[in-house]
Order: sequence, then structure tokens, then C-alpha cells
Amino acid sequence: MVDLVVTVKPGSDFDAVSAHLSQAGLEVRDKLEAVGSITGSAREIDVPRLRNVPGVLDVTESAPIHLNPPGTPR
Amino acid sequence: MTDVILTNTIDEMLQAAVSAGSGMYTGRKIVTFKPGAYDAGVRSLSTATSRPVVSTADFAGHAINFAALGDAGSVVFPELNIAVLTAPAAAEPRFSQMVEAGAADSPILNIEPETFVFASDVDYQSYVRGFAAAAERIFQDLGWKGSATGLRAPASHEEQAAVMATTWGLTATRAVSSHFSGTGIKVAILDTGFDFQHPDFQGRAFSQQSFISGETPQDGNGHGTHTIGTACGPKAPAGVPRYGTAFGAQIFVGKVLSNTGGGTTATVLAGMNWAVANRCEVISMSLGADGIPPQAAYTQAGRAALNAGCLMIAAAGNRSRRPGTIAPTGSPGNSPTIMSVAALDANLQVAFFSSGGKVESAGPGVDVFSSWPLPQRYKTESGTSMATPHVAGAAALWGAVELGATRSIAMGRARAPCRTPSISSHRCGGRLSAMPLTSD
Repeated sequence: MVDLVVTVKPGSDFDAVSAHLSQAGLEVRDKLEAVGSITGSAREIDVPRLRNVPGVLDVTESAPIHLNPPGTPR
Repeated sequence: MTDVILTNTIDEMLQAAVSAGSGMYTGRKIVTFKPGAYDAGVRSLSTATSRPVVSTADFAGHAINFAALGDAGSVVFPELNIAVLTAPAAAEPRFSQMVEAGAADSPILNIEPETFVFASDVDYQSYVRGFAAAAERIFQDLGWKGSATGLRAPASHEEQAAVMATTWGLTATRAVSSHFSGTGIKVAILDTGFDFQHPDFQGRAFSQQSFISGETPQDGNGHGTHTIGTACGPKAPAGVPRYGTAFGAQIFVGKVLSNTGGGTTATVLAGMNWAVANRCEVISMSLGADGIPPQAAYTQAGRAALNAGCLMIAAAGNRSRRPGTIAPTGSPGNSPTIMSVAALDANLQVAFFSSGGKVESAGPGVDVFSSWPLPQRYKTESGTSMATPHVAGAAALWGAVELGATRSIAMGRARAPCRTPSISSHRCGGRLSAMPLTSD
């Protein structure tokens, strides 16, 4: 499973896109309608199918963020 | 006073202002129309002032030539939804009546006197030194004992900070001189949380939310307490210099980084969503991932934020080793809809570590004193993480000025009043000033 961020095209039916993503294999974590994205996880093999869901602008793996250690520029 | 019209030169207006004793005011008026009321506003100006109204749209490329305006009573700027009125036009009885009526259906939101604006990169220290020397000379010539001033112009931000009991960062952004506190503005800081037991923040209103599984918004790291201190710390903390910018702002603590300082795109987006849904006018993010291109999700989030009246501000990153290596801006700061912030030192030089390439603003980011979780209470840190809340706090002060105006103007202003284009070669507009022109 990979953690994913799905960007929804502006003007799309957000709930409908979310439902289609679920059907295509996305385990939805958060529906973030105010910023137009949906986070969740899916099998790597299902990612191309998620990209083809109508209303999807982009599918990207959720990237890690780490603060620099103390004593270095933060 | 000579009536100031649209074709006057700046020198003519200054001479008129000096002879009339009207100080910083030119005599002209700036009229701001209500959103959507531009056409009605132009019609009302035309009838109420009995003088021609000229639009910047009448000039090639919207580049207005003031010398060619003839006897126009006002000039309108359709992109900005504002107009400039000559003194005679503003003095027309019908215009005065229209203003006094103050009707709800009036197309006019606000009328302000136009002020002179001076380039602030003049050598004001030399000017003040010269002024002090002249005062001293007169004092001595009169045969009086002692010193006329007993003062000299502060030579650095550190010296000014010592005199004003504030951090060097707050003198550099001029936040300490602002008449505004950020009251009425919601500032979201997406970070490691906050130490809600900190004595400097008792009695402050917080909204809080953790997006990290198994962790409360209480800060177990320190980074979030430090950045919130710079953006929204108190006006007069006991026993330490003032370190907080928008001391009256409402603070939204969004924990998107764990107590070990880790998070993901998904946790950051969750925090962004919460901040935008709560209509936080300023969203400050001292975080980022290096080495990845602009992310579509962040770019769209930044656009959604702007559409909702919110400004997202993010750290540029700390991966440069100047002068040899300039690392690219990290994500989300590299998204075009999000303002990214470089770090400056106390000499207003770009910090050696500050990432570049896509940067819109810069703030104090070296040796920044701010709050830290108990029992330590305070700590001095460096990084674009420290520069970002200086800009966010200043944006909140601007937001307080701009309440009622359009957000696009606020964003333009946040970029515009830069005084030190020291990093212009890296596409940076310069250092941000927290000092609104209206209180200069």
C-alpha cells in the first residue's frame, strides 16, 4: 500500500469523485474539500486506475517532511 | 493652498503642502469603491464632481500619463476598484453631500486623503545625524551648557532593538512601530503544536487541532511554540524583549508535524484544509520537503485559499550554502500560489542557508529569539522557519489594515513595501515591511 494525495479538478462533484476513487481502490483517509484534495492509501497496482477517474487532476505519493535537527538552520 | 490637480508634479504638490502646512497629505483624495460597484462608482463621480472622469484603461497598456489628464476631476483604476480625485473635485458640494449621506446603497466604500510616499532607502541615519549635529550647534552657539540631544542615531537593528526592548527582527520589519495588532485576524500556524501552558500566552484565545495520530496539539518539540511566538507573541512579555508581531491576532494551532518534527503531504494538506475552512486570513507554514517539484495538491490548495480570502506563506528552505550553492525552494513554498520566504541576518543579508529560486518575500531568520516550551520558556533559533512567522505576523498586521478591502490588494501590498532589494537577483521582491503606509 502507498499513501496518496489525489488532487480533484476544480468544479468537479467532490463527493462523486471520492466515491469513484473508492471504487477504483482508494482507501479514503480525508476528504479535504476546502483545498480540493483527497488523501488515502491504495495498492501500487491501482494507482493508474485512480489517475483515470473522471475529475482527477493528479495522483501523487504523500511525501515525508522532517524538520532539521536542533542546532542547524530549522 | 493651491488646488492640487491631477497634472501637478510631485514637486509642485510638495511645495503646495509645505506652504499650506498640510504635512504628508497631497490634498487629493483616494476613493475605494465597494466590490462590484465600480460602474456605479464611476457614474456617481462623474455626476457629483461635474468634471471629466478618466480611466487608466484609456491609456496604452494601462500606463497612465498624469501630465496628459488636462482638466479631469478624477482618474479611475478599474483593476484596483479605486479612484483619485483632485482637490477641487473632492470639494464639490454635491460630492460632499454624497459622502455625508453615507447611504447603504452608495457605491463608495471608503475615502482617504492621498499621502506622499518617499523612497525609504534614503540614508536616513545620515539625515538624523545631520539634524542632531545642527541642533547641537545651535545649542552650543546659544551658550547653553550640556547637550541638545544627548542622543545619536542607532547604528544597527541590534542597537535599535536594545533601545526599544524588542528583538532585532521586530525592528527590521518595523512591526514594533506599527499601530496595528492583528486584532480581528485569524492566523493559522501549521507546525508541531504549541505549549499552551506558556505564561506569555495566558488569556489568549486559541483554536487547536492535531492532525497527527496519537498526539494532542501540545508541542512536544518546541518548533511550533517558537514560530507561534514570532507571529503572534505578546506585546510586552515580562522580563524579556518583545518578540511577537501580531499580538492581537486569534491563533489557530494546527499540529501537522509530530513531536519528532515529522509529517507528510497528507498531514499538511489536512491542516491547510482546516485553516481555509475556518477562513484564517493568514496561514503560516515553517515546513517543507526539499528536492521535489511544485505539488499539484499544494498549488490548488494555495489557489483555493486565495479564493477564500486566505494567504498561505511557507518557508523557502535551508539547503543553500551561499555563496557557492543556492538550493531550490522546497515544497510547498515552490508552488506559485503560495508565498515563500527567505531568511535575512541582522545586516539584512540573505542567510547562507536560505534556499532560493522561487521566493516572494524575506524576513529575519538568523538568531531569532522567541518562546519555547516550559521549563525553558525562550530560545534563539535560525532558519527560514523563523523568517516565515515574521512575514505571517506582518501579513496579519496588513490584514487588520485591509479589513474590508480585497485580498488581492493585501497580497500585493505584502509584497510591495519592500525596502531592501538585497536578494533581487534571486527573484525576491525584497524584505517585507510590517509598517502600513497609513501609519507611516
